[in-house]
Amino acid sequence: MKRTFFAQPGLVLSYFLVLLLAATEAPLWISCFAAVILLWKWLSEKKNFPKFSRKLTAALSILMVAQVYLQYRTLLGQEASNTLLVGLSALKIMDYENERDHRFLILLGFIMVAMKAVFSVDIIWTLPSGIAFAGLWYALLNPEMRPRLRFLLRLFAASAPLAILLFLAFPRIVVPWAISRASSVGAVGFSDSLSPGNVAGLAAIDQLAFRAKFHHQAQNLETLYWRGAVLTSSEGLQWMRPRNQPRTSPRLKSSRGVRYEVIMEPGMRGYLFTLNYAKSVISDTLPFTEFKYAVFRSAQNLTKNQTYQAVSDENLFDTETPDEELKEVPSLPPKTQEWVSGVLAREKTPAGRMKELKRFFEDPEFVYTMRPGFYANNDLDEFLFGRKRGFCEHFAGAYGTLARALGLPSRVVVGYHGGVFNLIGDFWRISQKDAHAWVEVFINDRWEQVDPTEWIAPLRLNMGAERFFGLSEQQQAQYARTPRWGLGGEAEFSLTEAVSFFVDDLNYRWTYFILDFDLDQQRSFWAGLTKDLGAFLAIAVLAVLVGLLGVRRLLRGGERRAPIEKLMDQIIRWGEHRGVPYEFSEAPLRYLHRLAQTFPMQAQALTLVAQAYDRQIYREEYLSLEMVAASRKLWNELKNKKNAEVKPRRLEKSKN
Amino acid sequence: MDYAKAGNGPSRSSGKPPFLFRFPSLGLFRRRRSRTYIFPTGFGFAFGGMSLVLLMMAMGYGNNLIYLSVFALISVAFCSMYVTNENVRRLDVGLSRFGPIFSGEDNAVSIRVTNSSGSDSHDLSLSLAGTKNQTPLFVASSRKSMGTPIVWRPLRRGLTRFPRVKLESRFPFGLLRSWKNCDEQTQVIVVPERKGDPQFPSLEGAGLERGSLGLFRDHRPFQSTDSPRRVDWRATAKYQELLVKNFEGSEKVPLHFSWEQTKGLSNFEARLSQLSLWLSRAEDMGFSYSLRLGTTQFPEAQGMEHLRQCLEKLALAVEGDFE
Repeated sequence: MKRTFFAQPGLVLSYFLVLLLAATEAPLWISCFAAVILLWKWLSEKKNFPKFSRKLTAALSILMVAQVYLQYRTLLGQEASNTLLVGLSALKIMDYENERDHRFLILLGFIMVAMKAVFSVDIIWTLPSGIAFAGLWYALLNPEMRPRLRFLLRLFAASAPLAILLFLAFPRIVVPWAISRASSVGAVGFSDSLSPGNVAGLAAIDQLAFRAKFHHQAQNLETLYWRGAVLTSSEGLQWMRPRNQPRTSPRLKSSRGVRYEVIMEPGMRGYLFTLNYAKSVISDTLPFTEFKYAVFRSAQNLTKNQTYQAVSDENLFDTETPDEELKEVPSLPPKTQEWVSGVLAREKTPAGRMKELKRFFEDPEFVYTMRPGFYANNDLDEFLFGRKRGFCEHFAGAYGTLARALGLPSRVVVGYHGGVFNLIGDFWRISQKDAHAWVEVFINDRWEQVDPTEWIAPLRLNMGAERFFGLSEQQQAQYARTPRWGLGGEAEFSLTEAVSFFVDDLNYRWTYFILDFDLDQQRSFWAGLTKDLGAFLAIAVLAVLVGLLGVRRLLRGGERRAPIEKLMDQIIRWGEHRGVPYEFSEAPLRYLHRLAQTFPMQAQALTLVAQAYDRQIYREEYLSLEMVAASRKLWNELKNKKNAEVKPRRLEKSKN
Repeated sequence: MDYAKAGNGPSRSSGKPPFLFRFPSLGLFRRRRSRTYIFPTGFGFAFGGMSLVLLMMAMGYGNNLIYLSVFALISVAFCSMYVTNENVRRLDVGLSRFGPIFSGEDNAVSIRVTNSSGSDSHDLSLSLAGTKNQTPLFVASSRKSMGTPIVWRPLRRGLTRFPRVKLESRFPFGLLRSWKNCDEQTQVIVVPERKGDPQFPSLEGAGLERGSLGLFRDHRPFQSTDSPRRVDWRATAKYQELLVKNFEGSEKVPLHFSWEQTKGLSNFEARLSQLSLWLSRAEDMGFSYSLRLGTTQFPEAQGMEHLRQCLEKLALAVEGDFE
């Protein structure tokens, strides 16, 4: 059978959606290529443009595969596969002309729907994916069938219980061929160094980093320091992380702690963010290592959502004695060196030097801004004594270096600060805007947290990055040092915020449900269900029976029966009970006539029913409900009247 | 009540249908349904392969959303299996009555498909075992019975078993194919192929001429089977079209066929074919006719029953029967 692509609404809609979904994860060139091919196909089908020959599409396929290989150096990675799928499906659409192409495209479409889930399990994609999924099935039905959509919806409804059962019961085996999730493309987050401008660049990205949900304890925004990487090697403004050193010191013990769960977004570099001071981190699905300085890191960047649970105790402090690496001071530029020498001469105690540092950074000339201009790695003089404009990383980097120069061991911590609390879902949403850097200084035999941003822009920490960077630059500059500006009064939420909270909460629950259902969850789910085995079996048998009957009814009842036909069914049952069954292939009117002859007391009603049936079914006349009701009423009145003598007469059979 | 309209089911009051025998004597439309078979199509296997790949992908990535997609795919396919099976299972297939079946010719045989359920059956097709003939897709509406013609070309005359009728459907998605065979052990008498000289034998040809002595009715266009002697040349000249005269049927004289009239043909089968052709033409043209085959005599008559008796005799003839 010859087929035309743009004459298949289900297929066109599905492909439009799956290509759109795949394009969000694919490079721009392949999306443009697919769009051009689709446009050309439309022109060739609708405006008689010359269509591509199969040889040409084959040649283009080879070129495209070569280009993908050149770009990704593989054809197997998920990005490469996705790019290939987009290109190949577009070329297949160009070739589309017969039943075989039609079916091939549909299979390809199903793969593309599933492929999207590799990149994101965000609820936002489930609606278009679901529509594409339904559209592909719709396209498989015979176009002449009526009504197609209703049939499909019934079939989906009948299939849903089985799909849910399979989802809950299919064992989540961890397979030996687990596909590598390594990805270097599109990874967001902190790298191994803190160069001036890194965090500011990250904070400019409006993208979700992770969500966190606390068990029972409410948290203040100001105290939420999400610790990620720890940088120990100073070059002035730039800091580098140490080589991977597994944790050696014994784990700190504490019975108290704040429990929380973190759901990381895909695309993040592999740091696991924890609050100070993380006692333990547990994850069933994400393999990670604990390094020195309480840094938790997975081996690879995240290509899908991952969850982990952590316990932190704010009353615990790291007391590990700093090694030499944490005391090394880089060569300081002249003005900085002069300031350091002055302080060293004036203040002899660590506490005094800390006060000097604080006083230095409280200078009102310091400006907190995302666009401070370019600084070289050791441009301390320009930053501290010249321009005086910086972002959190500049202040943290400079503070750490100055502290070391003053004999105080220090390290820079990068991570996130704060987040937006979702009142509906009771969780924190931390985005890249919340990216932050601060310092830890070894004083009084323990590592203490110091955040220089607190002196320069306390409003940023009190208000949260989301709202702070929502202010105009002028407002930011004007009110950055006013800690409570704009925070007075009752918190009011606009409708947009409420909707945003709701959608985000829905997304959170969806992500949580989809992610969290692993082998352990599955076991506990079934263990909970089968606790009372007898009750479980009884309910299961009942559910299966009801389910099967429901499914059977859903799949069988494909037609809408007219009221007169329903009445006819009743009469047939009535007749069968009285020994006059409806003969196979017997004309209904003939049967009614036969009944009327056999049961004279009901003859009047049967004749009326026959007339109504004849008019509606055979003559296809419009029959008002009143007429049907009248015949039903008469039938109900007469059906129980006793006949004097009933001699069931069967229809004469043909004698062959 | 208007019972004429009520005939949506096959007639059950018929006597023996012409040219149709059945052994053993089961009802023509059996209530006992034959078994329904189901098997994946090539596309179904491809779909299964794809589902397996996606399942591997879900396991490999440990991605629950892919699991959900795969299970949704599998569930829909599984439910469609029930639909595919039910689509065919609820139908009954049987042979309708039909006219003479000539060997070596394409005969249209009507297959009756009866749907006594409350749901329509879609995308059905019929085929005959051992042939490539397949009907286009059709729908069997609920509580209706319909005759669907299919072409059958038997290769030899005589009592022949009617090929197995296969009712098939790939509804709804083409993933699975379900079918049932209607194998009623039906024996059909296949009559000799119509072959030979279309002209009636000379003696009977005179009868044709005499037929023209009946009342003139009208003219009709010349057909290739008409004798050129029947052309009305005057009318032809007037209307610039080859026309022959039509006469009232009642005036047609009877035709008498006999085995001896074919003695010019040496081959036994060829002689049977010649008579088959004449008998069939005579019936079509509305003549009454008789047939003498050796000692067997079919007296002069007309109609399908008469034709059936004559052709059956020819169909079951063994060489040397009529000498």
